Order: sequence, then C-alpha cells, then structure tokens
Amino acid sequence: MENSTVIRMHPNLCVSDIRASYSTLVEALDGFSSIQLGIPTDAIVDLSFLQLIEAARLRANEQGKSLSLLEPANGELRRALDRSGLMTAATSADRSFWLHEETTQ
Amino acid sequence: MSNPDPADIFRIEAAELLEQMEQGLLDLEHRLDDRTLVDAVFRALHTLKGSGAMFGFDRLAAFTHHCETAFDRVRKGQAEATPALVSAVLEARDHMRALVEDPSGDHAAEERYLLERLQAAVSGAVAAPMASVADAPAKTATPTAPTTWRIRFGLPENTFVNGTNPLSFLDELRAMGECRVVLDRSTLPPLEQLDPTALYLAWDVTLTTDRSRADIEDVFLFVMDDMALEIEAPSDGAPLPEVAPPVLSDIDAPARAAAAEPPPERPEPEAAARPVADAADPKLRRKVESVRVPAERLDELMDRVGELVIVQSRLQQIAATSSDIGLRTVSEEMERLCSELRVTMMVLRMVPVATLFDRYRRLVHDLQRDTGKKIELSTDGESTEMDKTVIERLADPLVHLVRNAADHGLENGEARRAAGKPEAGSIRLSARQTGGEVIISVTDDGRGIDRARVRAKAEAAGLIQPGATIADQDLLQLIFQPGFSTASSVTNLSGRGVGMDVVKKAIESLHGSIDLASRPGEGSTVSLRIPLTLAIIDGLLVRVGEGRYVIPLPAVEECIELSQEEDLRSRGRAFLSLRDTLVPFIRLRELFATGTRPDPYQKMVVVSTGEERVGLIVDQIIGHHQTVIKSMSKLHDDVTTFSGATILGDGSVALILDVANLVSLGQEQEAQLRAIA
Repeated sequence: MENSTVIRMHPNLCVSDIRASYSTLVEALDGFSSIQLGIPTDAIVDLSFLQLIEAARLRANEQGKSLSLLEPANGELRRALDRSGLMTAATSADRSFWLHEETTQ
Repeated sequence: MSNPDPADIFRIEAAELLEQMEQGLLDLEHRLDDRTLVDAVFRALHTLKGSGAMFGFDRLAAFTHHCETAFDRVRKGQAEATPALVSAVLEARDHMRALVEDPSGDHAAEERYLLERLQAAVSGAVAAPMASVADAPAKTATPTAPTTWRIRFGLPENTFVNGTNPLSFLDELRAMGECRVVLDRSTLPPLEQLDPTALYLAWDVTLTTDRSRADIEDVFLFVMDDMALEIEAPSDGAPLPEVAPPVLSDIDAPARAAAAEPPPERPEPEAAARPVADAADPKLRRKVESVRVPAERLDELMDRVGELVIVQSRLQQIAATSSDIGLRTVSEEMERLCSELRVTMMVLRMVPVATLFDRYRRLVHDLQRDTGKKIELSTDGESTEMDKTVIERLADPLVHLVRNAADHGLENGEARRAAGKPEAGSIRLSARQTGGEVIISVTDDGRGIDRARVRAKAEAAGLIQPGATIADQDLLQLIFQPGFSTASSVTNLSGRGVGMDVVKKAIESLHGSIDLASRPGEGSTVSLRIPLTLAIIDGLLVRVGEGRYVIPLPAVEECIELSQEEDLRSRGRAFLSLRDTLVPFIRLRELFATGTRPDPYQKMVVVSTGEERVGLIVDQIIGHHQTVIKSMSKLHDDVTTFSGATILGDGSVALILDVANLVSLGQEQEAQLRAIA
C-alpha cells in the first residue's frame, strides 16, 4: 500500500455529483495510509459533502489512517460548516481537521 | 445500471407536485375557506420552488415564487382565496409544467401575462382590514414575549434526492431569533454503508424567539409528514442545557491519543429530552412504503417475464414427452413459479383508475369556463385497477368523451331549467371490473343524442340510404364514423367530427369496444370495455383444422361437446339450445376456411362480452395457456377476427381470437337469421 496521496476534489461538491466524490474517497482510503484533500476555494458545497467527509473521517480513524485538508476550510465550505451547525459544538479534533486550529494546552 | 440523471428525478418529482397542486386547487375552488387545502397548495408550490432551484431549474423557481408568495399571503390571512386566484394559479401551474419540460424555451410573453393575471387576482383577494384581523391565525397575531425553544429534528433519508436543502431550514430558524444549532452526527453509518445521496444527520437547535410554536412548525411545513420533529419549550419538560452537548465524540482522538486532551464527554440522555438521534434512528424512521421505478423498467421486466413464460411453455412441452420424472418435476415447479411471477408482475403494473379520473377535474374546470355551463363532475369506482399502459392510452379518448358530453350533451343553464333539470349539468365517470375487463363509462344528464339529426347527417354523408330501416343501436354507432358530427357549429372543444372515430380507433387498439346508450332528454352513457392488461393473459388454447388459436380465458363461459348428431341437426342454422336459451354459434373451421374435415367430437366454447354470448365451434380444446400477447403487424390492421398473436412452446405461432368481434359477428348472424325467419 502506498503511503500518501493528495486528492484535488472537483469544484462541484453537491449532491448532484456526490457519488463521484464518494468513489474518489473510498478508493483513496483503500489505497493510501495518508490522504490530503484539496478543496477548491470556489467549490460549491452542500451538506451531502460535509456528511461524506465526516463518514470518511470515521473510517480513516478506525483504520488508523490520516485524512486531512490541504487548506483550512474557507469560502463556501466554511459557510456550509457554520450553517450546518457542525462547528457549534466542535471538538478539538473537528477544529483541527476543518480549520487547522491546534489545541492549546 | 446507470444512476438516473438528477434532472430526470426532479422532473418526476415535479410532475407529482404539479398534480398535487392541481388537485388541491380544484378542491379549493369548491372550499375556498379550507385552510388544509391552502396549506397543501402552498406546500406543493414551496417544494417545487425549492427543488427547482436546487436542480438548476432557476426560471421555474423564480416563477413559482410569485405563486408561492400569493398563497403565503392567503395562509397568513392577508388575502383571501378567491376563484380568480385559484384560476390564475391553475393557469400558472400549466406554465410551471412547461418550464419543467422546456426550461430553456421562450416563455417571457406567457410569463408576463400570467403574472399580470396573478397580480390582478391577488389585488382583488386582499382581505378587508376587519377580516384580516378577525381571521388571521393566532400565530400571526400580537407578538408574545421571547421564549426559548428546543427543537430537535431529523429529516427523511431521501431529503437530498427530493431536492430539499436542510440548511435552508436552519437559515429560517436563525432568522426567527437567537439560535444555536448543533449538528448530530451520531447516526452516520460507516463509510462503506453510506449512501452518499441519503441524509443521515439530525439537529438539536436552541432558539430564543417571540414567534409561536406554529411559526416554528411552519418552517418544516412541507416535510412535516415524513420527518421526526420535537419542539419543546422549557415548560414542556426538561430544562434547557446551558451548553448543548457535543454530539460526536472526538473521532480523531485515538490517532492523536498522545497529544489529545480528554474528549468532551457525551451527557447521558435525559428521559424528558430524548436525543434527536433516537428520532432519526433508521430503525425508528418511517418505513419506506414505496419505491419509485421508471415505467420503462417495468416494461423491460414485463418483456423478460413474457419471454420466460414462452420458454417455460416450451419446457412444459418437452417434459410432457419425456419419461424423466426429475424433468417433469422441474417443469411443474417452473410453471407454478412463472404463473406466480406473472401475477406479481401484473400487480406491479396495475394502477388505480383514480390516477386517470383525476385528470378530468381540471378539464371540466376549463370546460365550465369555455362553455359557460355549470358542470358537476362525479366519479365512481376510482379504486378499480388497470394496467398502467392501458390507463395511459385511455387518457385521450376520455378527453374526447368528456368534452363531447360537456359541449354537445349538456344543455345550457336556461335550457336545463326549462326542462326541469338542475342548472348544473352532471358528468359522471365510473369504472368497474367484470372478469378480465374494466368498463369505464362517461354519463351525462344532458339532452341525449338527437336521432333525427344523426339520421339526417348519415343520409347526407351517404352512410345510410335515405329512409332506410336501421336499428337504434346501429344508428347511434354511426357517430363513431370518421368525420361524423351532429354539432351545428364548430367549437374549439368538439364538433369537428374528429373526436368519436378517434375514440373508437383508440379503444379498438386496446382490444376494447364501445357501447353507447342514450335517452332523449335524459342523457347519454358511453361505456368503454377494456381488457385489464395488454401484456399477458390467461388463454384457452384450441385447435381448428391444423391451426391453433387462443381464446382469452376471462371471456370463456363454458365448453360443451357438440355431438355429430347435434352437428348434423344444426346444419343450415347456427343456433344451439343451451339450457333453454338459443345461443348463436360460429363454425371457426368454416370462418377460417381451413379446408379440413371436422373432428368427430367437436367442441363449442361459449364466450361472452357482458350480456351477449356466442358459441365458437372448434375441433379440439388443448387447454389452458399463459399467453404473451404480441402485436400483429400493420398489414393486419384490417383483420378484425384476431386481436394479436402469441408464440407457443414449440416455437409456432397461435393467433388470439378477438372475442368482442366474434360475439358481434354471431349477433349479426342471429339478426339476419331472425330477419329471414
């Protein structure tokens, strides 16, 4: 199994293309131990994508793999995170993953 | 199998919404103060707009928004539902359908016209100040002191596919006041079990607002029926938590165990504050009761079942000549399974006639406007089921019949009053099943068919000789002749003489028949006899000469043996006394000119269409046969004795007898013989 990969996601991260994003993520998680996701700043994001990424995080975590974003969430992605309420009660891991915020002891 | 195009999914959804909208509007027309109907129409408009925007039908969304706004005002008591508003939205609904079907077309002029109509209707529908205060629902009345609500909700899994954006609900809640939204990810399945187009998330919202519970419920108005929603005020039960619980434990924690702080603890759920996760638990969600399947897939499945039935028939023949017990057993089991599969397939294709009848409510609404006549449409037997293909092909003929009833059949109000009838004319659509047929009738209580006018028209057209004696039923049947019309003026509804013959052809193409009854001054009834299905039927396989033929089993009343003595006695006439009733019969061997000698033990198969019976003399009854109907070629359009063909187990072809035609032939024969006698 190869070590790491960077996946540049398609700018349409909505339900209409979510199956393609799903396949991409599943293949990456099957084939690599470390995956970085590049999300275009102009990407159109809806809740189905957030849901998919959360499920992928769970899977990566269970398999001891690393899944991360190349850049902290911004643009539409950040707006979707805020609108969905995902960040309201976010854990440190959530904030680290989505916003690249590190925990201060 | 490829995934369906989301736009196509939307089109199916939109068609259903438009249908709901139309039915709601038509009901509302009669019950203008029915709040449930107003809500139903609003929900359909709201969903159509939201889904349209989500799937890129922006023009539809923008146009629908105007109608939604109009209905929102009615919901809020700021305007009244009026016939003009209902009528305007009905027209707008037709335009919405056009925008769904052809989103890039040039609709500008039509839109301007419709929006002007809508505007005029809305202006006229503004509720009087007194009425608006008195009638406005409590929820829009005086604002109350702010209350903190706890709202927990989970949406159905098909939310995304239906084009609903859950984030819009959250936005609406935020717009109501101070709002804290927490996403619940606890019901998210493992990635490998996740359907990425399904929604698994739920929400826990704390909202401080002066709006009422009803206002909050309104946010979810158009998904309310399928979702899990709990709205609690502090007085309802448990105190609101200071901090909403984090709903997903630190999922990356194990991987970061060394550096991580202790993950936040998930509080124990309180009895009075059941986590929305429970409500959104797939096990607790409403069971999926139906699955949407494209019609063409059903057709494909039907074709496969048809081919399987033919192969099974072939296997049965091989097994019948084999001494292999195992082969025979398998063949019998296969026959049983095929028969069950066929029945299951038939049931899958059956849809209630209500889906057909509902379409005519709108037609009658428009006919009232166009003719200036008051018309009441009533329906009966809507739960009768028919094959979906048959239903689709009946739609146009019924349009002609309903139009004819409204235009020619029903008198205007003045004439009706003069005749002592209620001012509103009645058109009744009814359906009932008899054996393998469904009889659909269109009945009006109008003036009835003017025989003298029919005769005059027929004579002028050369269809009958002047002064010729003609039976009443035959005279009435003349209206189904091409180009025949008794209307003295051509209207845009009917009277062009193209309707009734088209109806007849359409019904005949369904292997059906038309009966017409009419009483002067009392009205007319057109009855369509239609086979339940066009795909596979139970047939009785018979031999005539060297050929084999199928008689549709539902039409078969009984089979009796025709002894040589009876055969000889009946020479020169074509009647047989059957339990003191004379039944005309047809020697198929002679009709088909087989040129073969009759079998010493011929059989008579008595078939009927309703009241009328005829005996068909055959050489041998072979037995029951599951018959996959194959259409005959266009070359055989004028061969009325057969309604189709089927492939037998040995690969040979058997023709399917058209019972209605044969019964009619038998009756003609009887009439001729009676006339001679």
